[in-house]
Amino acid sequence: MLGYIARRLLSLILLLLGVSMLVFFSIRLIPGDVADIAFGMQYGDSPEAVAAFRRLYGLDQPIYKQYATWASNVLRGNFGYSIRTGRPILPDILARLSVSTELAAGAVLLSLLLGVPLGVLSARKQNSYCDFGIQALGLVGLSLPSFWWGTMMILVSSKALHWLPPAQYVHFLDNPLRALTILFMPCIALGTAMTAVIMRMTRSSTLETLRKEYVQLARAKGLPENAVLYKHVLRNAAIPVITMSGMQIGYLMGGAVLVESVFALPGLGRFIVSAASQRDYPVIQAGILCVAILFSLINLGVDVLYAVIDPRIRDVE
Amino acid sequence: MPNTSNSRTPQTRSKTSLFLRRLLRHPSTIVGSLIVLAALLAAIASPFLAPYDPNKMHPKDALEPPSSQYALGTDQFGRDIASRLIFGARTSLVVALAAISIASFGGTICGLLAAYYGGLTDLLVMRVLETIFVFPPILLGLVIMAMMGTHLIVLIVTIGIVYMPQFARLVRASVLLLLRQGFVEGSRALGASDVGVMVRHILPNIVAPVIVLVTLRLSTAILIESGLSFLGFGVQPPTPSWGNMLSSGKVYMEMAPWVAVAPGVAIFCIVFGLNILGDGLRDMFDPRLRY
Repeated sequence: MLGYIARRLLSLILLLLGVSMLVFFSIRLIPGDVADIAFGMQYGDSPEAVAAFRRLYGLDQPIYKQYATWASNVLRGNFGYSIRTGRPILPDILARLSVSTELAAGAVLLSLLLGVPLGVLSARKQNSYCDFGIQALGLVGLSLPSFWWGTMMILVSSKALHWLPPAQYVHFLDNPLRALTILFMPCIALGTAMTAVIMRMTRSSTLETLRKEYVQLARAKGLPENAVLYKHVLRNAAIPVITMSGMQIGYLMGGAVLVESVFALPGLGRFIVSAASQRDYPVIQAGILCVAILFSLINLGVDVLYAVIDPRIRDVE
Repeated sequence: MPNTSNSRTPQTRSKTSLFLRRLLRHPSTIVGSLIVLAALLAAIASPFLAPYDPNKMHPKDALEPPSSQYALGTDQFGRDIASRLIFGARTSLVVALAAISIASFGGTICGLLAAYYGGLTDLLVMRVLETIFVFPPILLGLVIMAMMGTHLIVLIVTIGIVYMPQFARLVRASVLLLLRQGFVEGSRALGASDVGVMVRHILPNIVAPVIVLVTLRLSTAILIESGLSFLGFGVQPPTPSWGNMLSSGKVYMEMAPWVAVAPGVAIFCIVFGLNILGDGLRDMFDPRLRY
């Protein structure tokens, strides 16, 4: 087990090295000169001032040196400064990350609480009206664009209920009730697609497991159906569902960009969007790097969990 | 060798008719195909179907509710929403089709080479693609669009790159399974070249899963395109796209809800159609997954 985790950590480090290079060098893809674009837009562009700006941000150094400086700063937790506000980036990112985390956690919770039972129910009543109904709902959930779904929720609640969530964001730990009223609709908007995915995965995985010989054996032994379901079926059916959930959390972080914009939540996604529209390159760089690191860490966590549940995985790699 | 190629033609034809017959057996697949066909028709024949020029402004009729004159109402510039929706289908489908062509073509080549040659090629190709995989698609799209500028071509290539790793993974896994079956070794022993083996023996066997993934990814590509356009990083106004229609409609939502409702319904319908079609195709091609 430890060996497995060590191997995974090693490949994670390699992956993050690649990711950091991709993020760093992608900035150089911008047509034109970063300094000219970033600087000229703000302060006008006398050549001396641009040269000073380039020195300040190390842009006069050769590119591999720039990468080395940047990477060693990042490793020490210094993500640089915004070229728009001049503020250090990391504290801003962390503040927004907590909002996005609360949003994502709510959406994940919702999709597991709804998706897993619905999937199991659908599988147990296979080919009944109940099954078809749940499956149709799943397809609808999968096809709803989160940003439109969120917009429609706002529209209906303001038109029909004359109610809109409070505008000022409050953290869950500071005031749980108020936070819930704010996060309620965004979590549904963000979690609907994931609920559908989890439901579909749970259904097909449960159906597949129900056909296994060991399930027939358990039934033949005379175990009550519920015991068969909980002890033999669900435990095994959970494995692909867990992997899928891990991957979905990554997509969730992407979807959060849209939902945060719709509901005007001060999350990381919206932070990156506004940095992108202001062409604040250091912030874009740092923001997307953080998301990629998070995504890789979540995947690592899921893989380890996977190996804990299913010992066969450890030996395969 | 000539024998196999001779006997293949009639077999493929009967497979096609079998395929169509099986496709039509599932009612949901028929619904999916009809929705997708309707969207394709709207995209191809938009100038003939749209009652108005999508960019023609009728300032006197701004934010009109749906009526006999404007079936779905007008937007803040008095442009006919139904016409913009029909032309929007063209934008969305062109972007999605072109992007997924890039993704499936590039991904198939990468996955095929990685699996076939293995070793260092495999390691390099898959590691590079894995790096792309750790960025949520819409975020990666957003960043690339912010860097490279919001041109339609950039949007298409961006979505193509975003989805390339998924195709590469799928193709790699399918090819690895095929390689174990021995017929590839057999034809190599008969003197076939690497390219010959790949084109004649491997590719025909991995077409089915790739088609299923194409259908399913077309729907997510439409979601990504409309999402990026919604955020202002995709298709730029005045070119109508469902995403940018929704984003400009959101501002007037209180006064004129129809501006924001219509494009969302359009996105939902086409994505729904592609999803049920994809599900149906997967059930057909991969009976193991059918329950």
